[in-house]
Amino acid sequence: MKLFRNEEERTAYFYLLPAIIVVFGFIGYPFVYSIYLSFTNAGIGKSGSFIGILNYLNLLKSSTFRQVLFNSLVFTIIAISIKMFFGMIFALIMQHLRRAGKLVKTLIMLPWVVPTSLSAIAWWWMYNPNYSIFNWIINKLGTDYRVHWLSLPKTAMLSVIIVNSWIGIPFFAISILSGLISIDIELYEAADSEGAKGYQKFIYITLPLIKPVLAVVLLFSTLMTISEFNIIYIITNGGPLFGTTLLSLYAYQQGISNGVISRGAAISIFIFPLLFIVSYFQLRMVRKGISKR
Amino acid sequence: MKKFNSLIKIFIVILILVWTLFPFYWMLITSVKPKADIYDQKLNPLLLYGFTNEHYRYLFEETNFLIWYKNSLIVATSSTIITLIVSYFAGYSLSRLKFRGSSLLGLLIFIAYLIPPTLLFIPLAKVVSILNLGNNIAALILTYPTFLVPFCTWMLMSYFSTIPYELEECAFIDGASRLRVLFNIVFPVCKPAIITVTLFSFTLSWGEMIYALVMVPSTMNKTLPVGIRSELIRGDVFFHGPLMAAALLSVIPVILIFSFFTDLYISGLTKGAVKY
Amino acid sequence: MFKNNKLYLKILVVNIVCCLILTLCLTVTTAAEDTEVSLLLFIHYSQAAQDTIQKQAEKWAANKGVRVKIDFVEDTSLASMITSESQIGKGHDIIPLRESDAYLFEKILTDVSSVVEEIQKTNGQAYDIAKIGDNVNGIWRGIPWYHDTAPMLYRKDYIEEVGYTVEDMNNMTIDEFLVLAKKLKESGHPVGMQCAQIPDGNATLGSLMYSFGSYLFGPDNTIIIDSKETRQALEYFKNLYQYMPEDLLGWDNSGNNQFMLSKEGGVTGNTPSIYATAQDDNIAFKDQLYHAPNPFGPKGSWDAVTVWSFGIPVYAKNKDLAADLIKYLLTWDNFYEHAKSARGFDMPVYNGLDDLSIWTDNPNLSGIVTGKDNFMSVGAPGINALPSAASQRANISYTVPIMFGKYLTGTSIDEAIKWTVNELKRFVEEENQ
Repeated sequence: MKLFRNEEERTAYFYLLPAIIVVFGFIGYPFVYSIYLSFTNAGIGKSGSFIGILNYLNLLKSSTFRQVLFNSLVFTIIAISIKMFFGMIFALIMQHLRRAGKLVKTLIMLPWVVPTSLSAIAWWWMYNPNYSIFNWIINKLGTDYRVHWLSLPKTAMLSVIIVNSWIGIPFFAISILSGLISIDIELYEAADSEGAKGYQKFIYITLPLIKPVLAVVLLFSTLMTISEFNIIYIITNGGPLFGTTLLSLYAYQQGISNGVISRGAAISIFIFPLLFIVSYFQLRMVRKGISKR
Repeated sequence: MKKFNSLIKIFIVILILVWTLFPFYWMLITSVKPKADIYDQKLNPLLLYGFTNEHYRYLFEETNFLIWYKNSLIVATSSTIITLIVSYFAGYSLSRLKFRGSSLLGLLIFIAYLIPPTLLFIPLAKVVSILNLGNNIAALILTYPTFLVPFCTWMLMSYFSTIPYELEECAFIDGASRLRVLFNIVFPVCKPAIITVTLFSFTLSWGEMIYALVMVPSTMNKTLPVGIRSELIRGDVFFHGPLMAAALLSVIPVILIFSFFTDLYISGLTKGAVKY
Repeated sequence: MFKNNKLYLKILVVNIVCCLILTLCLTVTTAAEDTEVSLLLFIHYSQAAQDTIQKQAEKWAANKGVRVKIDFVEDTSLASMITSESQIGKGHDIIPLRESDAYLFEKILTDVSSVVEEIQKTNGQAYDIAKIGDNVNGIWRGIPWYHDTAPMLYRKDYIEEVGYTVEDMNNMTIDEFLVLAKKLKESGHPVGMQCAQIPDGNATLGSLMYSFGSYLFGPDNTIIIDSKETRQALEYFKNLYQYMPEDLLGWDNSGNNQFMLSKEGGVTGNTPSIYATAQDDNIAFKDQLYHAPNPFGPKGSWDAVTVWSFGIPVYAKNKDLAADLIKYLLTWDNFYEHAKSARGFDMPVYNGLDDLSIWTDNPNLSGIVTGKDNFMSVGAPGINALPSAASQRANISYTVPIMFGKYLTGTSIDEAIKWTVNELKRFVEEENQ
């Protein structure tokens, strides 16, 4: 009995072998093992015994965990909205640049290209309670008010949303820009000849035609935003009072810093279905578009 | 009227650039400000009243910054190469070849992308120690592909699907082997995606912090993000000047590479998306 | 087809071989594993102290004919490293333990009673506070190394401006402290006591609670936080909070350092690192920084003390050598060399090593020395309770600062205490599982 049905299949599996090793060996096995861990009470020094869904029940009962879930929701929704809105504005502006367009594009992409763990350090320094440059600027503009960027739960959440947006807007902007560029100019010309105003052109021509791009970018960015870790870890470490703790940070703190690895695994597993649902829709769009032979 | 329009446009562009570039400016200025000035609340922090290279000197002479740089370079380059090879072949076969299990495999690889690193943390550490790579940057080179390969495969898959199959068809008709097609025909055409994947992998590996933090604790083996955070912050004493200097120097390679390949990077990133 | 097969195989093999070569190259560059004693230590704020330890360890290694390696990591990552090492079953021969970590890590620490006995023969008995933290159920799991304390730190010139003297500061009650805080706020150099979710927060608030007689646990892990004294402590701190900078909750561990060094700060609670930094950087007011005992509450004045110890984990490869190295580092001469290079940060924990002249001879530092009777270990559960895994969990999860933080940001006092009780219950449950 031949293992492979035809040459094409054999080729495919040869090519896929390294990827399969990575995915199954380094991802699949650890994943399954973590799932198992989440059903135990393993911790430092004890391999633990099976306790069923007790970890999950305890998490749902915990007010801190519920707050973390809420934080993740708030963070994702607000950050994505900001990024989408400003990404669109940036893209519209860039569309109308002729000279120096390339330079501007390069500069605008920088926040997204640069590793987050390094730029977060700069933002952390800018938000410093004693020396914040933002507070200094605000003071110069007249008021005596001092924003407590990292000291109160609500403002701290705002602060990290700002950083996440700073990093993510370029991605939206560039993708939307590419979508804008690919729209046929003739459509606009036709609309012009019928006396359409600027905003009408935008609503009836531009928006519908970039919807596909928006959808893809939106879903991809949602995945990345929900699992944000570096920014929070560096700037607030989840504080104050769990105000900026998101799911992945909480999983890390409980599982690894606190040593209760079974709990950490359970929290991590909560992230998974969220991402799966979001990406299911994206996958549908991708599948529609892939052209097979 | 037109002039007014373009004035407004320029003004908005300047605003956008200030928003985008201010943190870099701040890094730069802090890294050359004399220490006393950094903490002096009476001075205007946006301006330089003095210039010093003491922070850079401290960075180079009294920390292992250059060693961390070398480590990060090795790790990022190696992970990128491995990822590139693995994803190129995988992406091509998933997108072009018809075989049993292709949809399932595609789905699995995509699901693998969704799995958060915190979930894989401990088991991966175990794998690393079984291979006797504890405290060795090779551990990172082995584990980084776990979050790089799924995404890069998927991205290359999308990009391949935008390349008309006719190109390859012609080559096959002319008698080329599949491998030859892969390298001589497909590769040149998908340069943008290759650039994107390369830059993406390099950047993510360069900035990865959590695995590096726990798997490689020795100061001689640390990578940049870990070294910067752990050794420029001693207990409760922070060295903000060197911290900013280090952060700045660390982002420069990425910026340089990116600026050479901006157009290709952008088109690789977006072509797949736009086609939908 | 046959030709193509070979080609695929070739490509694949080349792929895999390249990757393996790369990996092997890097593996080979690491030195061979024969007898190397490895220590995991936290990064000390003083590079000089680290260098001293490195030097001493290498001298010992040379005498013994082995090699030694020390990894310095940030102390917030210590727990993560120990967790993953214990899971893997491989790691350093010596790990650092703070406060009552020995209770948390009991199952992965070897019995070092014999080592401690030997050390006590030459160094005298370990302080009670060290014993409480390192001796679990009669067995020593940690070997006490040194302690640091976080007394009050103030600017002499600023308090003199508002009519106080060094004498006053050394004998201040908490009510007088409130008055001082008000005056200092008016003069523009306020008090800033750490209360965020950081080790400094544990220290400041913990000693405050002790001075009121408020405790987390009673004997056998009974939860006694819900008490009149706790409410008094919370109320007091809320009163104090109005005179302190508003962004206190967002300070990280260096927040109060920067606060004092920026000329704005009047008083804070900290280890002598602020003083040491001021000396090193030759700051203008370096000699105006003085230390004093924490203010006296109804139940006295308590020093928030952190005892650092060495532990030898069960997965250590060179346990006997590790014990030997620890004994070497704890000899009188070596300890003092280290303490001096740490600029008075590290203080002894053995009765025989009691020469405190580094501190008592310096007027700026003499306020630190208050006597062992009012030592309170940071994260201690209560005056009548022994530490436990649950109490140390509460410590590393910053439960006390969170309780205070909740009350300061609007949660009712009952809600805040109720939350704390639930947290502690959870820790006890998880300990008993």
